[in-house]
Amino acid sequence: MNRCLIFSMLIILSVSLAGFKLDNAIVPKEEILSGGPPKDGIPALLEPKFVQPDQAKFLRPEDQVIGIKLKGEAKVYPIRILNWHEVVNDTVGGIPIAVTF
Amino acid sequence: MVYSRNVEGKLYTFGVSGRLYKSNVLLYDHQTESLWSQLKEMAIAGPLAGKRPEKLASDRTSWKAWKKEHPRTLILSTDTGHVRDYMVDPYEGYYRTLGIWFPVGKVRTDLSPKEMVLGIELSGKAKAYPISLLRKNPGVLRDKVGGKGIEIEISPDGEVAGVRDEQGQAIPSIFSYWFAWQAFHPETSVYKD
Repeated sequence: MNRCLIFSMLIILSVSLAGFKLDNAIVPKEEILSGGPPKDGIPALLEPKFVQPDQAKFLRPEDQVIGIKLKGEAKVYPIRILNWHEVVNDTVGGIPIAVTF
Repeated sequence: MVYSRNVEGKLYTFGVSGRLYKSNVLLYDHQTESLWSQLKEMAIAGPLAGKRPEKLASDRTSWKAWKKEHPRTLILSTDTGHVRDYMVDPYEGYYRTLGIWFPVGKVRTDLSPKEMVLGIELSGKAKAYPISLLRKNPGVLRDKVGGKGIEIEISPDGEVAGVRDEQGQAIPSIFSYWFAWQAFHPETSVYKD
């Protein structure tokens, strides 16, 4: 890829950043780029529901998960689902958490 | 990575901004629309710029390994309110943060850019453990990061089953591509056999 093409690509990407205030960015603004999908194009989960292990038939033993245990409560977030949402806003053991992928 | 949503006494909820920094996802909070970098672990623009959320220890492992340790675990349901085919990987054959044609600067050549690493940061020192190396050595790997002892437990079938400090307390870690980890931790060391 030549330099000119990369430069034009960066311009196009930067223009599509309208919407978030970047004036006080603490990293170089030109390094904040559009990733393709628009804001909320990938929908974060705000009211996640949970099932018991015997109901989790969609999971295969080798499926990758992110698990967390806080104050005695264990919850697990399959990568299969995180792939499509990237963020789950939840509460575990009374502690408000964001699971990010 | 898992973060507390309580930042300096205020509660936030997070969405996906559609923006990237160094090829890594930028979240935003619905309350102030500040942008938060997942791997920089900090708000980088907006009213909360400079704030750091608390990182919480979590395990990235297989369902089998997690269920064995936590038989009463709850599992995030596929009933999410969104119509998605959760049996399909939207990023199949394609790195989810869109590959490295997005600028991440010069990539250190210690490992190949898309090699998966387990990244640990302690006392300001970062260390990357190539997953392929960990998988080959089931058992407990003892090492030091930032002068502190750590243990990485690898299950008999090669899954990362836990990352702990010397007192046995779980410590935060992340699975990441090498190029992304080194972009956010330019001084990182790399574990070798």
